[in-house]
Amino acid sequence: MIFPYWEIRLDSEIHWLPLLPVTIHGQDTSVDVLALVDSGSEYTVLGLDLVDRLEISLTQSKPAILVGLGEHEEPGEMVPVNFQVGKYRWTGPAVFSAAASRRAILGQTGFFAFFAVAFRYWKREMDIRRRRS
Amino acid sequence: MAKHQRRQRKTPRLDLGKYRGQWVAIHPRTQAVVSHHRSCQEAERAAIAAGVQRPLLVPVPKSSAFFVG
Repeated sequence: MIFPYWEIRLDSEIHWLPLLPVTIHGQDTSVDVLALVDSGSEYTVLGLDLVDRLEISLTQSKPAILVGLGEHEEPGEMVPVNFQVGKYRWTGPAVFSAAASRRAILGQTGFFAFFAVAFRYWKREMDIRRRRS
Repeated sequence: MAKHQRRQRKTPRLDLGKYRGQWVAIHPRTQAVVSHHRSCQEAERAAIAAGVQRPLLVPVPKSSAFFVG
């Protein structure tokens, strides 16, 4: 599946980003979110807003500490989540964190473990294929 | 959404400067901004009320700085 990069304008800055419309399934409900395909992120990270929206229980979650540039640590809670892109549906771990309140990130364990992704920045597109087991 | 995703090759554009720190609900086919709110549930609710049953929700960072990670 070929997906285009998105041109995101934030004031005077233009960002070309590999954003992917992904369906996130919760308890008898689901929502479509535009998420960043980020091979530099070890985990898929989502905001706490989505916990409420999807009625996801964190009672069985595993605590996770997130860190980025600047080494500032942020707490999160890891749970398995059902995702869908097109006809492909999978269950992978996602970390919900207040630090990602305005980010949705598809990372290594929750996304790249299931798909082969080729980024073609010069063409502003990415090729995403289901990994053959 | 699958057929639409396979067809869509043109680079979608979003001008989100006005919505920093919010959730924006866009039309999944036209990418037109339908609603926005600090809460994703409220942004979605407003989009549904505006007639878009299945909006695509976009979290907009507070900062326009470049993201690395």
